[in-house]
Amino acid sequence: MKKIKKTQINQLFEAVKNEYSVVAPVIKEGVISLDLITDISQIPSGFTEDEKGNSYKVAKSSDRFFSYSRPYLPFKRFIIPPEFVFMKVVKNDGRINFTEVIPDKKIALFDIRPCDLKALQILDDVFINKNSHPDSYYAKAREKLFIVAVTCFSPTENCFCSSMGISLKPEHGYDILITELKDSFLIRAGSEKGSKFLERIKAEEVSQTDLVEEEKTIKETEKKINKKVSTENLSQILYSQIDSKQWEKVGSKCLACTSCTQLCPTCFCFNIVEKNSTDGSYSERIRVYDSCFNPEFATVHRFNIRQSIASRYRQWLMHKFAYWTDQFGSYGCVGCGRCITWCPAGIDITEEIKKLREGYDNH
Amino acid sequence: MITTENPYRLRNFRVVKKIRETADTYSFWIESDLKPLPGQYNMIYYFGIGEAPITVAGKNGNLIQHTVRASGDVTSHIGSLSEEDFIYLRGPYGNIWPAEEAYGKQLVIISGGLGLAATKWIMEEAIKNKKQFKGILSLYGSKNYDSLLYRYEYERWHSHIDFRITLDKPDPRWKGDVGLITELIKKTEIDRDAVVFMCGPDPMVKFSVIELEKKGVGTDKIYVSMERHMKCSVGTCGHCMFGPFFVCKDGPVFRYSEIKEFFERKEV
Ligand SMILES: Cc1cc2nc3c(=O)[nH]c(=O)nc-3n(C[C@H](O)[C@H](O)[C@H](O)COP(=O)(O)OP(=O)(O)OC[C@H]3O[C@@H](n4cnc5c(N)ncnc54)[C@H](O)[C@@H]3O)c2cc1C
Ligand code: SF4
Ligand code: SF4
Ligand code: FES
Repeated sequence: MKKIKKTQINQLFEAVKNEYSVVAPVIKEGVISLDLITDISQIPSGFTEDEKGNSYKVAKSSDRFFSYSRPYLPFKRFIIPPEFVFMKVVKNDGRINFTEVIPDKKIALFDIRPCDLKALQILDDVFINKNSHPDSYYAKAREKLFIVAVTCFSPTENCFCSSMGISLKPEHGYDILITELKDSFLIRAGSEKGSKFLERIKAEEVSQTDLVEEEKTIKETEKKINKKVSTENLSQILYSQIDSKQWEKVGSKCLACTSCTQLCPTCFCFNIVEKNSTDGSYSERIRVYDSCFNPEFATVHRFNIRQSIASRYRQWLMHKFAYWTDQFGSYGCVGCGRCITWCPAGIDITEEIKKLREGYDNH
Repeated sequence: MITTENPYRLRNFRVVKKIRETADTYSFWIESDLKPLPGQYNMIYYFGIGEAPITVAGKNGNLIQHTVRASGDVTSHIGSLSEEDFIYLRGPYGNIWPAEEAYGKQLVIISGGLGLAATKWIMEEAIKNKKQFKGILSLYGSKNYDSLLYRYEYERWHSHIDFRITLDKPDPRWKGDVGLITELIKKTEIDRDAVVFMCGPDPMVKFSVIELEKKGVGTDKIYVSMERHMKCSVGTCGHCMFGPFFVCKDGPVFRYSEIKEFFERKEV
């Protein structure tokens, strides 16, 4: 562990930039978003989101460097883009040849918060670790990542990460971790890549006082997270509520707009489409984000198995909090709150779970 | 360094024989070194169009059989392939029919429509190992006379096992049973401890299970091959999700008692 002066963050950023294309939070059209950046000044320092229910506002209100919360876009799109060609097919003399498309960019995720870091580990399970046919595209993109995590001191009102067992200061999964103190940044390495990288940074020794300050700030921040989901026996309770009337109620509000699934850092579903040239010599196989809210998602012989929006909402919530535990041994939610903030219908997943739990308790 | 082979890598094989089964359904015998087992499927690709999951309907040495109903975008293009053409596919995927579960017992195979493509191979294998079973009963329901599959095999099957066909609709050319497959199940003797392998449309499965239960067959002895929308076949696209299961990799064959609560619920 090392300590750098606040002014040295630029140096650290430049060192990362030397080796990687850097993806980091930016402010775009009034929203804290994510993009490739080339200068540390593009980071929206001083801005803070005010998120409550499905209202969202950004204001300049803090003197901290990492003043904002997790961006509205999830990092997953820089590993598996919303739409990308994964195979090129060429036809020649009646025979076809396939070329697999390999992600080639070395990307650094700069300022990824504990919720999104955990989401990445969940996606690793889906695509690689708990899959008997690991996704080579994902694996290769993942391998090229450099992960700069940040201890989160700025939760929004919609964040409920602590309920999902996530601590503000991540224990692992990063190459380097930055914790912002009042007058300095603590830098930890979490991998060999990270250690090597840190060796090159001029830094000071960390004192006991720094660690006390860090611990204290974490404790204070934890108190700011008031949104909660009770996860006790949650998957069993949900399985028992599969016929609950609550699904109809939420289904009548949900617009099936897919906004929640697009922004959720763990939602992984995709479609495969084909785009071919008119002369019949070339075709591209393309992966596009899909959503369980889409009307064709579960179509078998032109009949959609999940006709009602209620059943699609049920699929979404049940997957995250019940099916996922059977499939991958964890929840499919990290409590980032994005789906709450960006739901045009004002649906709050924590409230839905609460109502389903009540249905169970009153039985 | 993670070394992973691209799971979407397609291989090309040659169609050595094409059989017209019905007006819109064709069987293809393909020369390949693939080693599928009964119950599994391949993803078949058609250039510029896409892929479809298709059961391996049979295997004979280095030839594998696929039976395809030209019903949509991908399948109608696959249906247009001719002998000597290349066919592109990846696989095999999915689990297998647990034949040894039925050793020493009556094996009952129930197939509806194109579902016969998914049960035919295990039936052939069972015929080869006839002595292992107390008996083999195969019930096949077809919508009408014209959609009967594998007609050229009936005589052989009849000579080995109790193979019965029923047509949903009567036909002057048909002298056998008429009525839904559930009717045929009703009037057929089935052991209480029989093991059942079934494939057909969801409603057929649902009502057949009811009839089987009436005969004392346990739902833990009934295995069903399911069909769901599939895009990746490797548990990542999410399309085939069915309750906590991915049909593509946890199935397509499921023990009915394990899927009952999801299968009998609407819109899961
Ligand atoms: C395990 C399994 C085994 C199968 N075995 C056979 C078989 O042996 N013979 C046979 O003829 N058919 C079989 N099918 C059904 C066949 O895969 C579908 O009919 C076919 O995929 C439909 O695609 P299409 O483009 O021809 O049809 P369209 O109706 O044009 O498809 C429209 C859209 O729906 C999608 N779609 C619809 N149903 C399915 C589905 N089940 N899987 C994937 N995508 C679907 C298509 O990809 C396409 O995007 C099987 C299905 C499964 C799941
Ligand atoms: S379900 Fe909602 S709160 Fe949970 S990870 Fe997804 S977007 Fe975040
Ligand atoms: S964002 Fe809200 S309205 Fe849109 S699909 Fe999700 S729950 Fe439904
Ligand atoms: S077909 Fe993609 S997850 Fe099963």
